[in-house]
Amino acid sequence: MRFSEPIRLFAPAHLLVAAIGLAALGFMANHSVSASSEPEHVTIYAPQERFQLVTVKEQDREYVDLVAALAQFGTVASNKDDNRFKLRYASISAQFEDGSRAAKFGRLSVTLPDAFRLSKNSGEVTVRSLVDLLPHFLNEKVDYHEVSRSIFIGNAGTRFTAELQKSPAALVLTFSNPVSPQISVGGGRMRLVFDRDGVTTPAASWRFNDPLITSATFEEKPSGPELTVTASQPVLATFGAGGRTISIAAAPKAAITQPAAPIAPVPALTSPAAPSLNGAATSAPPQTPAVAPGATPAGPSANAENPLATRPRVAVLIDAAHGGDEPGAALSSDLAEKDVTLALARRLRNELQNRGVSCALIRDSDATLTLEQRAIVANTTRPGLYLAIHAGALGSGVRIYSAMLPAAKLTRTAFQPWETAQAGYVGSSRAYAGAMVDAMSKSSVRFSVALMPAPVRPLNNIAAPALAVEVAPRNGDVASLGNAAYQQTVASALATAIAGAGARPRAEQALAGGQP
Amino acid sequence: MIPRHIQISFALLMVGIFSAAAYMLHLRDRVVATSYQLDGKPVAPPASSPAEPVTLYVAYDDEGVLLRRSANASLSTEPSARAREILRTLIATYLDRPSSHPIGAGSDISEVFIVNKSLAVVDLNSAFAQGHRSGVWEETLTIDSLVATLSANMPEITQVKILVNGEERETLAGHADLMSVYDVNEVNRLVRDLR
Repeated sequence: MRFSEPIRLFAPAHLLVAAIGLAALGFMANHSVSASSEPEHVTIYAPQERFQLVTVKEQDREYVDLVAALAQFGTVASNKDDNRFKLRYASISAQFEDGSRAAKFGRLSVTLPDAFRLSKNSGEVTVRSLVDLLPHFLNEKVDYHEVSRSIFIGNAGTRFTAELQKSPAALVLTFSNPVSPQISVGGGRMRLVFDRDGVTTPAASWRFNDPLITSATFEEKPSGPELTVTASQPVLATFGAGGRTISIAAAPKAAITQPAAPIAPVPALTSPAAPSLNGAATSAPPQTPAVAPGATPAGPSANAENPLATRPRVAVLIDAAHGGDEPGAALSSDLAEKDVTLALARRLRNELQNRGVSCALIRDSDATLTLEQRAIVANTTRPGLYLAIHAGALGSGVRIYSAMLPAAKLTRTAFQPWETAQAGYVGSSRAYAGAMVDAMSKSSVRFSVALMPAPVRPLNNIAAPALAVEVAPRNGDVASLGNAAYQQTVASALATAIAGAGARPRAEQALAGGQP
Repeated sequence: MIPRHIQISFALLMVGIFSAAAYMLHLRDRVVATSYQLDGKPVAPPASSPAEPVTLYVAYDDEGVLLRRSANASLSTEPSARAREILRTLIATYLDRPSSHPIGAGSDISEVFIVNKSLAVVDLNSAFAQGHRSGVWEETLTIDSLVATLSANMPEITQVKILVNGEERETLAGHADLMSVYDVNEVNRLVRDLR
């Protein structure tokens, strides 16, 4: 056999094999790419829920699975017969034909904007056709917001009003449902993007005859409905009414104009700006009303002897660790750490307020908050003391932790590294903790109190004096952590220690210097 | 017209290609699945080299202390393997029952990478993090024990970074920070206080 003969004989075969191989590889690559990339979708806001439908784009048309869409509202039965597709939802029957724009609801004929098409196991319609079809199935009006790719069923969606209040000037936004927008600032503007809240107010613009807030515009964008507030100086967003109101007002001047002033004894009104939020906007973590500077008033009675009582802003920001989907330690079969920390945090808040110390909770419900969100809230609030509350099954008494970071001198820079934002405050945090331990050891209630550095997240990310407190059981009895009397005793002792530590001249001196 | 034997060859080739693809996907799933399986066996360093004395900082939960203990282990001369074997010796003491500081069954050190002779990147396996008890104190003792043991035996290590299953993770079990790089001096200062 000559050498060239088999090559000539199999050359077409080789080409075919190569083509098939390449096609197979192309198929696999395409499959892997499409599996990893984010599919397109439209968001449907129904009165009780919100869900997303995956769309398939073909020739400038976006198709959705009709059965999958209706299945979100109730039981759907479908039947494919040759090129016809019959569908039954609740008591409504509909019939479609592959490639046809005509649809039948009983004896009623409806012409769709685009043709129906059969898929392997279902039927597909374009998004425009779905918007026309849904009212026939659901007996509700349906609105499609093309820019934000949102479909609103009935009265679903969030509406808001904007009102400018005087003295002091504040733009108050009132929403029909709780919202959690993404907030950013820059160029004299504050942008609030409501990408998850289904805000449906028609596009509008406001002009205000006010030296601080001059205008606001609301429009839909592909990233979501967006409200832009133009202000002549840095402004701050404060959430209230469970996320139903946002008040935009001037940021405190102390925080803006003295970015690296010495740290005040406890309230730290002049502490440096947050490492990642150079400005004065606060971002609301989802599912929770964020605490913002000034959101919480001072305690019920101002105590002239207590320096904390005279401060107008949050002196102590209490962070009940864990919550929502993140239960923390399982202290016992029926006692989760998240519940103990919330109960302790609430009791501590009451005790501090009774002592005239202004304070606020980052979490006041069973909300899921990431550690990063907690740090962001703390850094935008700039409290005198950030206090994370934990509960643990080991040992007994109370353990107070400061960050495990080498102390560094507080620098006069606008930005600080996120992972070591606490470094400049380690000295003040430890001095404060020492003063607390002193106060607790002299308390009439005898506690085992330990103080040590520990790598508790997010202490390293807090640009303010920051401590974590871990409450251990009384006499080794884990069930005591859920005991109201024990929680109250611990909260009262901690509040006394915090207030006492703030009043101590030695602690003040150490805190003012930033180093022990 | 393509000859019949060529068609058969193509068909077999296609079957082979897709079978191989399916098998690869299956293998990938199996690797992912097995990485989460717990074998529950204490790990022990390989016994290929002569045993050397090793200093361990062992956590004692009841007393809340880290105590210096000595052990013998077969150690490699290669720094990464040596570091891994030192830590595995420590882990083995925690996996023994009864344990002064219990950790989850199947906990292991997957790898230790030494970067620029001073930074140790310790890669814990998934079972280590998944089986670890949640709590500030429990997690702190574990981290301090690992870092102090490593630095006691390899003084050139000044920083330690901890990964889980090759990836960064926010916390060990809800509390101890794994995003930061641990400064050995800071940990040793705490360890001195905890003795």
